[in-house]
Amino acid sequence: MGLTTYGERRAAFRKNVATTVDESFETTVGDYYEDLYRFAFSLAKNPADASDLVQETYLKFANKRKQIRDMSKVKSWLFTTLYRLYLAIYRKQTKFPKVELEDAGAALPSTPPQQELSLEGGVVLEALEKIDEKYRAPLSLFFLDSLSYQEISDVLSIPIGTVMSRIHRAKAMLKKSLRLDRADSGERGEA
Amino acid sequence: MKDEVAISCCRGKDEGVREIDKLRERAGSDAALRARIEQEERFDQEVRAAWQRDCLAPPALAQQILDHVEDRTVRDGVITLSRRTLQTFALAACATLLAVGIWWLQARGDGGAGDSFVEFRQDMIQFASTDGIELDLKTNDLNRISGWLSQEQAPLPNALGPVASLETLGCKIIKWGEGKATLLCFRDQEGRVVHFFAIDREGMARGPEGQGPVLEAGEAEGPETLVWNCPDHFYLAFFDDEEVSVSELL
Repeated sequence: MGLTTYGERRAAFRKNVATTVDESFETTVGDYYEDLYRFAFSLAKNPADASDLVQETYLKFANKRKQIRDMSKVKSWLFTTLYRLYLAIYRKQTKFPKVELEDAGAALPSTPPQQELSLEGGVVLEALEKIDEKYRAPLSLFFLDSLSYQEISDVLSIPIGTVMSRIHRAKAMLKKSLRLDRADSGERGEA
Repeated sequence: MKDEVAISCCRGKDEGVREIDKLRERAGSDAALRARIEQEERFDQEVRAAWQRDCLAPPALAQQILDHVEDRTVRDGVITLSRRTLQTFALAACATLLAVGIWWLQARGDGGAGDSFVEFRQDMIQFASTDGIELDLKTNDLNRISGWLSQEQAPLPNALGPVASLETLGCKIIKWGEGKATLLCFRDQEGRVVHFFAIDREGMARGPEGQGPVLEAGEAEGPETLVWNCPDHFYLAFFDDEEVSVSELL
């Protein structure tokens, strides 16, 4: 007797085929989805696309995880895959022209020094969004604090030295955007 | 300037990064430098805390991921089951044709582009031995190469391994079998050219095992090669000059 309805076939498939979502997969989701979401959000700049990127990353992981021989590299693999998905899908859809850091920096209004650090109400997110993606991606991975420099280098396919110089430049821009550029304002009185 | 870069990148957990290690060592006897690093780390902590507070994953995202993956897998599986009868005949016919085709190709001594890394290695050595390889993109900017390869959907190397420190000359996309391989050319300090190839490991049999670069001794008519892998790709590198041992890169 054959299976007649979609539901029956679906149930049979669930029963007979080794399911993709097992305990170790769930653990991997639980371990990394929040950091992956933050990284995705920093790239895509909106929650819907960030969630889609994370879901597609895990779908790819589900299909390919048997090919990953060194499970200690799963975290790097996930970040690398997410970044490539972003490059392949979302970057092409960018409607706004890319702005190099130097140009953007020159265009930022000159702001008076601010003595107190106020990072309330999404100020950091707004400031991060202003940074060109080339610098924003390494800066986001730096602030996530879960990848080593070698891993960041692998994820972004750039040398460690370049990772570090981009982080430095991105932070300079972030500070400027947060009105905290110490080069202009001097010490904040904390040191 | 180098100090400023290293100060920006201090996280208190990056032992092994030479610039940061040196900076921290100096900070041990330099109070001003130590204060500057601490100030930078306080800034990092405040930004990190604000970012983590303001950028939260949707509460249901973890479950959505599990549902999404399971649904896609099950849906694909059900479609496979419902079409199985027809596909069985079709697959049997295809398999027969394929077997005959492979036998015919092997019988005439022309294997074509196969799916094993051994064949890929041989083909790329032969390709590199031809005179006048015209690079698709000539630049020493790895970021530009990376962007271009992404755009062209060619294998994008993410583990340059022993060639990472060499001067980049450019890249070329090579059609191999049904897919694409990427060639990056580098130059070492003595001006010798290194060919570096990347190929998707999906569907590729008999690729290099292990994590680090592995030296493969040269065959009678081929150079020594270095091979290694990452989750997505297999990598192959060798000098343009067969007389040079690729072990110099290790």
